[in-house]
Amino acid sequence: MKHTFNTPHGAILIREANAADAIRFRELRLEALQNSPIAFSADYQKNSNHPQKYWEDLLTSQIDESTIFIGEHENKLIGMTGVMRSNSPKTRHAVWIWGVYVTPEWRSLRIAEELITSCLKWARERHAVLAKLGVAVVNKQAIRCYERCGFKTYGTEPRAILYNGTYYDEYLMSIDLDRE
Amino acid sequence: MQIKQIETGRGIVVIREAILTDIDQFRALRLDALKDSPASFPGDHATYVNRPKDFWEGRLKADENGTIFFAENESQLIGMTGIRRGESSKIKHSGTIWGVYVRPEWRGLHIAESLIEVCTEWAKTKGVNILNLGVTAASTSAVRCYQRCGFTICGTEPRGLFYEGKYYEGYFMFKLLDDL
Repeated sequence: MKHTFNTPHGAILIREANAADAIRFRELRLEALQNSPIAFSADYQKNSNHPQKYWEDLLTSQIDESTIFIGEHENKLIGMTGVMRSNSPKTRHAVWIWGVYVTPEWRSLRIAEELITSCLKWARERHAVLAKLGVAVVNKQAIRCYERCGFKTYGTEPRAILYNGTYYDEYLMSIDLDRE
Repeated sequence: MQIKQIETGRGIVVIREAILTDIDQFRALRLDALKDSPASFPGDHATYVNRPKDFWEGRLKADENGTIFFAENESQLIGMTGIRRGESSKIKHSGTIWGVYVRPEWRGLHIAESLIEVCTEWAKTKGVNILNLGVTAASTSAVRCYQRCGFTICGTEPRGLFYEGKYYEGYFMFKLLDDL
């Protein structure tokens, strides 16, 4: 699953990541955790100590369980979005969207929407009927992006993230994949 | 280690933390929970039946981030509740209550409340200041139990769980543990 997406800054290739992307993917993910600590529950310090194998395993697509879409421009990774589903038959109908990130100079070009849409398509092909995500209430730009993708807020998790002594609430959002 | 003893109309119930020798009874209790209340747990009975001994041992091993408490009557496990908190520095303050179950013949005696209460005390000693849990909305007695324990609904997840062709709505609930 890959396609090209044209932006005023140039063409972006949207595709599934694989183990060969490990080094560049690690850089992008660490940049995300460092630049946007409130947006992610994962910790920069801990992730920066993960061995190479961790990143290779993360990017080894597990066919029906999870994948990561990346945006690539001239061999540089500029954005990512992960999608995963549970293996229990009782919760397999839903997927979880995680790690949505676009590097700052490539924002406002709807690249995140393109990445999320690819994840939702991946989910629909696997007969998932629901996609869910969590987003910091203060992250207005991300919330608007998810709303444009069709997500609706179904709850608010208080104190979802603690960073530098401040708590951040998160909206819980979902989108039906079987009702257009 | 016994934490608490409650006298019920049916006899004395001891609340204590799990130990490794509970493995056989724990497995039986958890499998009964998944069988009796399939719409209450994301875990799937058919999958759990085949889980190896290591899996159950792993669950029983308490550490800094999680443990299980049991209710016991005359050396028989009659109820359980698990607690697990986030591992990353940004979510360590938050704990999740899981696997709340009391055998049908022991219900209506507020045993689940006692189990949740000891989980709450355990969480406080670890510096956890918010608890959350998910519950099937249709399980009204469970929802009422959590409300009596001080939990508040902060989200309604459409199609939280799927079982035998039917979707079940889920509530997401939280409780702040700040000292008043």
